[in-house]
Amino acid sequence: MLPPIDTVRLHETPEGVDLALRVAGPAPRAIAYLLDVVVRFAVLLVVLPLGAFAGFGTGLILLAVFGLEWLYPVVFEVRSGATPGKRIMGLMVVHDDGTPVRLPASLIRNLLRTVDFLPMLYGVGLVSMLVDRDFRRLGDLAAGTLVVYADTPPAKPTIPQVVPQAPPAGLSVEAQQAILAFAERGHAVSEARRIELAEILAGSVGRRGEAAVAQVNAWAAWLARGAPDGRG
Amino acid sequence: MRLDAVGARLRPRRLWEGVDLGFALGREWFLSLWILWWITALPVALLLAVLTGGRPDLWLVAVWWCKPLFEAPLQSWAGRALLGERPEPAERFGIIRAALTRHILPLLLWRRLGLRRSFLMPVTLLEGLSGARARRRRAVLSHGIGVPSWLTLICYHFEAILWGGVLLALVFLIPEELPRLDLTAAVTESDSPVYWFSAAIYLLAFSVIAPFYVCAGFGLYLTRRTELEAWDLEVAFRRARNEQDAAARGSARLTLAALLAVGLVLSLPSPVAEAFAPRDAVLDPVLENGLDPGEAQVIIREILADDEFGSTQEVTLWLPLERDPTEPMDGWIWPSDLGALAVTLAEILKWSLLALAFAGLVWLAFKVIQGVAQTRPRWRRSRSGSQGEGDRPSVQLEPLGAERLPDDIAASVRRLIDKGEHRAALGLLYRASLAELARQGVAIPAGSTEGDCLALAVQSLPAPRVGLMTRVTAHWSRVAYAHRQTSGAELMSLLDDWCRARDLPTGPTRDPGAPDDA
Repeated sequence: MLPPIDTVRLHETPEGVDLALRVAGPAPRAIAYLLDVVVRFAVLLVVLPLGAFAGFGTGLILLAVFGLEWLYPVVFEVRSGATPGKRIMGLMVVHDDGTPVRLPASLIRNLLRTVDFLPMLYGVGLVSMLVDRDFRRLGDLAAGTLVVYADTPPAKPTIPQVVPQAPPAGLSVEAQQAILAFAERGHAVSEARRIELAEILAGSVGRRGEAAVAQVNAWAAWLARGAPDGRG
Repeated sequence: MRLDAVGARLRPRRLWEGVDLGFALGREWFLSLWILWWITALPVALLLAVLTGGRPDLWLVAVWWCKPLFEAPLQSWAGRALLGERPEPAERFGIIRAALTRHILPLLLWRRLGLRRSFLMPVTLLEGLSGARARRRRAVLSHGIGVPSWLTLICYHFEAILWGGVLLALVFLIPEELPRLDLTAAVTESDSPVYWFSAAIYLLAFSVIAPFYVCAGFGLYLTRRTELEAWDLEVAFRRARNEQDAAARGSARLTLAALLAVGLVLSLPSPVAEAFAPRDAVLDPVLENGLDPGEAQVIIREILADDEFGSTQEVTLWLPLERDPTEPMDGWIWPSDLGALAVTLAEILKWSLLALAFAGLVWLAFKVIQGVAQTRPRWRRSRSGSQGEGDRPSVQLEPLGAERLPDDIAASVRRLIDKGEHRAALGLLYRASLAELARQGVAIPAGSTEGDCLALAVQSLPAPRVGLMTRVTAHWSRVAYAHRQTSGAELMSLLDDWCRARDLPTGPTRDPGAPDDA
């Protein structure tokens, strides 16, 4: 069977750790671009009154247009990894090994915007993103960068405080993680569904209904505690 | 739905990530979905072309309105492919027939303009809901989220970008000699044939974006259901349950091992018969009576020391030889005195090499010192040589200017002429001229030829002097290189001119120092 389709790209570090990069596709990036266009336009509106100073003012406006077109993304990407639009969408630019993007790569990917923009409104970039498995436009391919979802620090998980019970032996790591996730996220699903889920697992020890939910929560408490003294 | 065979990774994600998952699915299945789209769309499009009476603008709007009709089979196909049963090409018509039921009529009528079309289509097509239940379900699914509407808007724009991109690319890339595409007509004049062309390209753009749009909506739907119903947990739980059931039904050997471990906990000898005792009965004494911690620690350590626990690994690694110097080298094949001899030989070799290196160093130092000492005298000698022999063509300036020239040059020259040493006389005259040049601050580089000196003189001396200098140089060159002697009379006239130029007394009247010097 084929590996399940996902938008996660794993990058293995020399230490053998897999970094999971969640690449972002054309839709959120289009919205991010739209937001950036709005920001740029707003800045331009602020600068526009300089036109009152005849030639000098026009020069300043042209400089501002140039800076906004070519340097605006570079400055923000090098400083914090994301332009304001990307930040709002929770995206950021990284090298394809997951390290923060630096000046050379950022310059390359933003200079090549002109190519991606062809023939109009990022037609080439759109096709490139649809074809490439990491949703990279040509600029990303040339610079070796990815646009990924920025990791937000996870909220401290809370699980129900119940008397811990040892789960059945031989549970795989994935199953243990699922038990913990059930305890953390169980309150978000409807009660009937919660019972249905719990019965899948706790049915093997003959628990039904609310008892099954309680059983899985007890296992989760045991797993979360890490069983320091080794006794269930 | 059999969720455990699902072909995409289900996990809680942001809604936009769900859209991206959909785009990834769309790319994975693009060709199948694209073909499926055309199978449905092409006949409908042709039929609509007839019905709209050959008006391309109406035709395009009609095709656009019928988009849900083409998307429904895609949705059914994606639903089946996600569950691991990717439909064969032969099943396409079956899928299309199954998808186009009366349930999608609302999608073509009053729900056509709804912006959440692809997100909510699975409710109709995959869950098979209709009426009030479907309405309730849709309300629950789309409660509080705006991404599905954004998705539809974005995909409209992607279509427009593709359409405009292809048209513009054609305009840009068709050479000027060929008939050009009239862009204005292609976009605005609905009765021109170019408009048909442009509408066909729009249809192509529909077909390219449709698989992504349907899959993105589907991905969003999966994400939403994962969020609301914890589908990922169901998958994990079912998998764990299956594994456990398999383990319970598993081979006797596994059970035996597990029970053996229980026997060991009790620090009993572990005969197989005891190990097969019912599990509860064996465990009871431990649970009821309890052990005091110290005793338990001992037992635990004994048990952990057993081979049953842990595993044996064969590790190959390189270790330094001198790691354990006290250990005698049993494997050493040489006798010990031979070894000692070898060590002695090595010592001798080492010291001789060192001595050799030292000797080499001394020799090198000697050569260097010698080289320095040789270079310096040779240089000096060459200089003094040039002074001794007035006829050497290479002229050193410093002795010319400062020391060795006689005080009264004219008298000396005259004396030399009288002695008949014309060559020496001319040499002295020439050297005196050069020295004068040097005294005037003209830097004459080493290795300059007579010509070079003359050129320098031309630059820095007044014109009459230059003429004199030219004459002296010409005579000197003739003597030095061509060995053609200058006559005494010529020399005397040259000397007279030379003296006259310097306001010195001419003629042989005054020759005071000559008898003394001689």
